[in-house]
Amino acid sequence: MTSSLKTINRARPLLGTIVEIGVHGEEDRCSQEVISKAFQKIERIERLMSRFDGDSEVSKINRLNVGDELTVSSDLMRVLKISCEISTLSGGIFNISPQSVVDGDVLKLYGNERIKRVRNGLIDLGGIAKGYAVDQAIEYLKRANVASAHVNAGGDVRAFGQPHEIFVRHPSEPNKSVASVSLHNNALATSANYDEEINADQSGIIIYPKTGKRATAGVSVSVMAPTCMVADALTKCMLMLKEKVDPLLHQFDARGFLVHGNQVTSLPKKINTLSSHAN
Amino acid sequence: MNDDWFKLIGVPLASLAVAGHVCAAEYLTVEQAQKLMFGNDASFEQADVKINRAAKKAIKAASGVDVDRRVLPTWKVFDGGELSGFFIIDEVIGKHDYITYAIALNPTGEIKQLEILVYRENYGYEVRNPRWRAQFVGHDSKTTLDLGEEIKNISGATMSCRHLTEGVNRVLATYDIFLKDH
Repeated sequence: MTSSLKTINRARPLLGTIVEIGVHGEEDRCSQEVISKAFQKIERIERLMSRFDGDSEVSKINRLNVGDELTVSSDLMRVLKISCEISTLSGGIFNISPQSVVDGDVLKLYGNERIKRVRNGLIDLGGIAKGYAVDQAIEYLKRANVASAHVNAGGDVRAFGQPHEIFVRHPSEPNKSVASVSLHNNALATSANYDEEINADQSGIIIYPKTGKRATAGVSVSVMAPTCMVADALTKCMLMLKEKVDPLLHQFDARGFLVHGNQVTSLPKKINTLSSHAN
Repeated sequence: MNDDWFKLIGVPLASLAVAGHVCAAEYLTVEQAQKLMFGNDASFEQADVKINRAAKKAIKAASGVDVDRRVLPTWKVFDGGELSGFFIIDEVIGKHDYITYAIALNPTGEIKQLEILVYRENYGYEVRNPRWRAQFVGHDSKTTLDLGEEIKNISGATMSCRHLTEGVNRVLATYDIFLKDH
């Protein structure tokens, strides 16, 4: 019998990038509805965690005075907890509140829903919430009994079901790939300080919170992890820590590679030279 | 741990799905987008907006965005004999090439939905990061979308999204001038 399965892809501007959701399904109409609902999951996370939306939970936290407490959603608490864990394990390289590197923790977390502000300092989940939004869309698609799907939010990609192949762009030659990765029920996040972006658009710069130092231009890092939230956060650590990121990768069952010029360093560490492998 | 989970492969990226970027993809036809945004029962009456030189100036003045096309493909949408909104097709340059997108407006000009139809960006690339927001739904022409203020997101300004924001502002200004009073 001939299979009637087909892949339906849609894209919307969300999370500051183009988000693509692809579903491998039987019926057009059913798949379209499922995709629309998956986009809604992403929109919900965006509304909760945007620092610039005055009504978001993050903004409410940012308006708290020292000593004030707030009840937050389980989604935000989950992101805050993993952020704190990665921050501690990375020695502050990853940090949702850069001032806290100097001053200590800004928030205390109680149980599953209460937080208390203990120091001044703005919270910004920009380094992790996009990955979490991808995870939430994927979890919804699984619950909706979709057999196979992927969600790609500008470099934060997670897939399940059929293998999903993606190509990682070369940081210095943007019209060429540097590697291909096949995702099987896991996530890949890529972060980079591309040469051209730094010249043309300061928004591409990643800053080391302790010193204000910029991550090296022309470098990209890709991290594969079980969830996109972890992959997203670990790319920031890897851009700054390079091979010193290995313990963090082990901790989260992740692996990665760093591209700089003609050299690709696989982490945990192994060096490859592009010219001997690629065209 | 072995490193055979990725393959080193240096190939031109046109027509490939690239991490950090979705390229050269056709997502929806106009008809598919119409049904998706307004349902199967809606009827569509084409009412393209013709933009002369004076109108271009007025739209630019209201939105701050250049207008380079003479016609904005527009449909009035009816459901049960009542006007249920507007369906508009617009294009913006992503980073190097055009992105075609559809906007559904309700009768009062509020954005109901936005969908990418064709993303031809096979050379541009996305850098994820800092301070930019993109959430369009619920905005109307009274609030010009502005990076960092009206627009909400979590992270990552990409050139494509900035240009989409400008395009949306231009469409809302066009609605205000041409479609508001139907």
